[in-house]
Amino acid sequence: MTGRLFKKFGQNGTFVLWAAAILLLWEAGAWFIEDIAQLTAPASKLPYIHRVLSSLVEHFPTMIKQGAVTFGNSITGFVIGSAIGFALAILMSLSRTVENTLSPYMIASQMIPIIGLAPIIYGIIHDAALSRVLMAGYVTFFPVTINALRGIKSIKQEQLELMRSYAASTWTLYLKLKLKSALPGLFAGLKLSAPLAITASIIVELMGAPDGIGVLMVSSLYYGTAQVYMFWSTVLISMAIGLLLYLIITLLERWMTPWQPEFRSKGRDET
Amino acid sequence: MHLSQAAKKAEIIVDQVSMRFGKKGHEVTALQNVSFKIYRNEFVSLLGPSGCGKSTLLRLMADLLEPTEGQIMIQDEHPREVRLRRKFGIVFQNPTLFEWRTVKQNIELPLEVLGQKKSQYSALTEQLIEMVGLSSFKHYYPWQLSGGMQQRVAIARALSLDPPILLMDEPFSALDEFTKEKLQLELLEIKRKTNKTIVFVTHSIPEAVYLSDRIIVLSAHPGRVHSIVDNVREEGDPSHIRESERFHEMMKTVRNCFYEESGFLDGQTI
Amino acid sequence: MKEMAVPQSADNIRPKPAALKKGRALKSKRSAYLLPSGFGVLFLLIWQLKGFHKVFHLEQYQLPIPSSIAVSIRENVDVLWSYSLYTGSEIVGGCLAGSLFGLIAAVAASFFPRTGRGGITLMASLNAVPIVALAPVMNNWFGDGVASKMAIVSVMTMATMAVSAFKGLRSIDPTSIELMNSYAAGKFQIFAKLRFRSALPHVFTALKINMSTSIIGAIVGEFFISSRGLGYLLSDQIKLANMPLAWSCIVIAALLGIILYYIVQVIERLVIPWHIAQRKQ
Repeated sequence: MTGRLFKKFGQNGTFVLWAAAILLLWEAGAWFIEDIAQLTAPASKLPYIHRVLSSLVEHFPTMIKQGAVTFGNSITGFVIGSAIGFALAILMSLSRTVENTLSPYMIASQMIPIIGLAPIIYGIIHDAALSRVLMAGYVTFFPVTINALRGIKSIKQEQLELMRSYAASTWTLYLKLKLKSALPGLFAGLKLSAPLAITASIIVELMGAPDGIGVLMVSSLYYGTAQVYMFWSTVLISMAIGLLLYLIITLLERWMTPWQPEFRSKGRDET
Repeated sequence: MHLSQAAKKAEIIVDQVSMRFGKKGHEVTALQNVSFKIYRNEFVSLLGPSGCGKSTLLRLMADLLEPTEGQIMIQDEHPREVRLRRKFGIVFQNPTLFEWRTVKQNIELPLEVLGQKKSQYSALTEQLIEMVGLSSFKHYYPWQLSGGMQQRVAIARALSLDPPILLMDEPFSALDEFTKEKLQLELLEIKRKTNKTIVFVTHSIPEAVYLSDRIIVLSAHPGRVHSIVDNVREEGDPSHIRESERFHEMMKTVRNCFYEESGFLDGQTI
Repeated sequence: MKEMAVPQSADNIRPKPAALKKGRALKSKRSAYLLPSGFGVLFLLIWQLKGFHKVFHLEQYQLPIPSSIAVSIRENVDVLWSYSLYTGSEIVGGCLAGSLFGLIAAVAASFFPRTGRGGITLMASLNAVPIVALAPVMNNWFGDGVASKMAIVSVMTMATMAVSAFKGLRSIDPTSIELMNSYAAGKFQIFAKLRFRSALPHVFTALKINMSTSIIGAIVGEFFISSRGLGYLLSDQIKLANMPLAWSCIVIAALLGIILYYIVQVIERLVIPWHIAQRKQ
């Protein structure tokens, strides 16, 4: 028990060490650029982290306000997109015709730069909030469908035979077996599309939306060196938003699919 | 046991069943003209080498497959009717437990599917868990159990609807020899207590001889009934059967089906 | 012995002859091509006949019809071609550089798994970050040429490769390692003959994911900082409200994506044929 705890700490410990090392390296790099090499506009290349953080604290209310706009729209689109994506996965698992018809487009969509549509969508509807929701939903939808469907299809033949031997209705079959088996895939899809959803929202903002963290990013860029720490703060905030959404999904996953191998407390040791 | 077979009630009738898989022109015949009867409360093994279609035969009985020709009747009904009325329990080689369910929840699965209320069956599941000796593990997840324990859960799950017939597809073949012997003994005990009709697919001669009342020996390519060995198991304490003279006589009889007659092990069968 | 009692009710349950099943298989194979292409044609037809315009109350200057996009592609074929090469070089260069860096990181981490694992976890958190945010920074570092977009693409791709390759390098059947140990193989031999081989399928999976990520990275990078490329043309034409050409960029980028994906797939087939055959089964 203590051994496991110690090991757990050891794993997290190296993670913390790595993060600290990178931060140190960053500070060293900033010091080198600004004070040793004396490059022009050093802070737009690599600023001192502590100055970025102090700027972040200074502008914290604005950052939180704009960040919340981006995050809120992203998450709305993200939830709607995943709901539609999951429903479509179920529909595709129910009907071979639907699956055969849609799956080539699903696969092709993985190879297509969907985010390129962001400016077009904003160009068409000219409503920032709606565009963000729409784009976030759109980028979420495909990875969720594909991964959830993969989960449903990974069900073993004998599990299906077992349910058949109980003469389970289609509804029961989905409730007891297929939806459960789809969950790990669903979460894999959600984790893939979470950063995409945020990116999509930010891109809509860069294309001229009136508010959001992306707007703050662009406007602070325009003011050049004067606002450079502000700009880096927006970068940090958007990273934090991405990590926050990812974290929420991971926690949900742990709570809803505790049976998955990676959550087993024993921990399968890799050699 | 000593009633004449004609007077006994035929529970399962397999009549001229053939089964072919694959595309036309490249068909593989898994079963050819297979006919036999299984009587009520009998323990019958379907014994044969791989490729003899014994698992296919079991799936035909369970209405998981449909025969290309011929038919199967269970209690004078088509297997589909039997399945729809949940009158058999099935155990696969793989325990096929749902990994998101605990031992107890896995055993309760068929009862849930049937739409029963939890209050109706919780006493029953407790009893089943006790029967398979997993009382202290009932809240464990499948991955926390050994292979033998997992298969015990699968057996308890098959018994939870109290079906008259138990279909078992090589349930012990993935287990180690010690666990296997233990579970075989437990299965005989369950059989004694519940008196179910059991159809047991296996490729192990000692296992078939140890467990069965009758053995239906199948040959491969295509799968056919080679012979039927009657009165296999003797009465008495099952824990000492393996040491008895009769057990070894029976083993020899069944082995002879494979080795002496009709060149069973010639050429393609191995 | 009694005759086999066969009740009449069984007569209406027809057994499934093998021939019937075969017919169905054939039909579903044909429908695997017919249905999607029919769906695609129908979609384009509705679009061309302004079905979507009516439903969503759109004008043609907002959503151009397919024929006008086709015309626009034909008229601008030269610039689309040269911009495709430009953007394509960013994609390929960035993807290869990022994947290579990720692979090196994974290999290094696999030799020192105790300390390496933390580093890989840290890299994995890059995946949760909207890298777009880094585009202006890369502009500051590398200017507005190809290099800055390659850098964005590299950052976007290295984490996926590192995580996937590390997984491949570490998840090896222990008995295979015991086998190698029984030959008294050295650490490097085990790596070359066993670990790296087993990691290759993971490497290619990551490469395929990275290819589509790269396109997004390059195009979004060009939204920010560029005077050339498909992404630049796309955002520029939207500002000029020249929607057919903007849509042409999307179409060309999609084609580019599909072509690059298939190139990776062909290479995969050549490099790890044993795995492809296994996967098909």
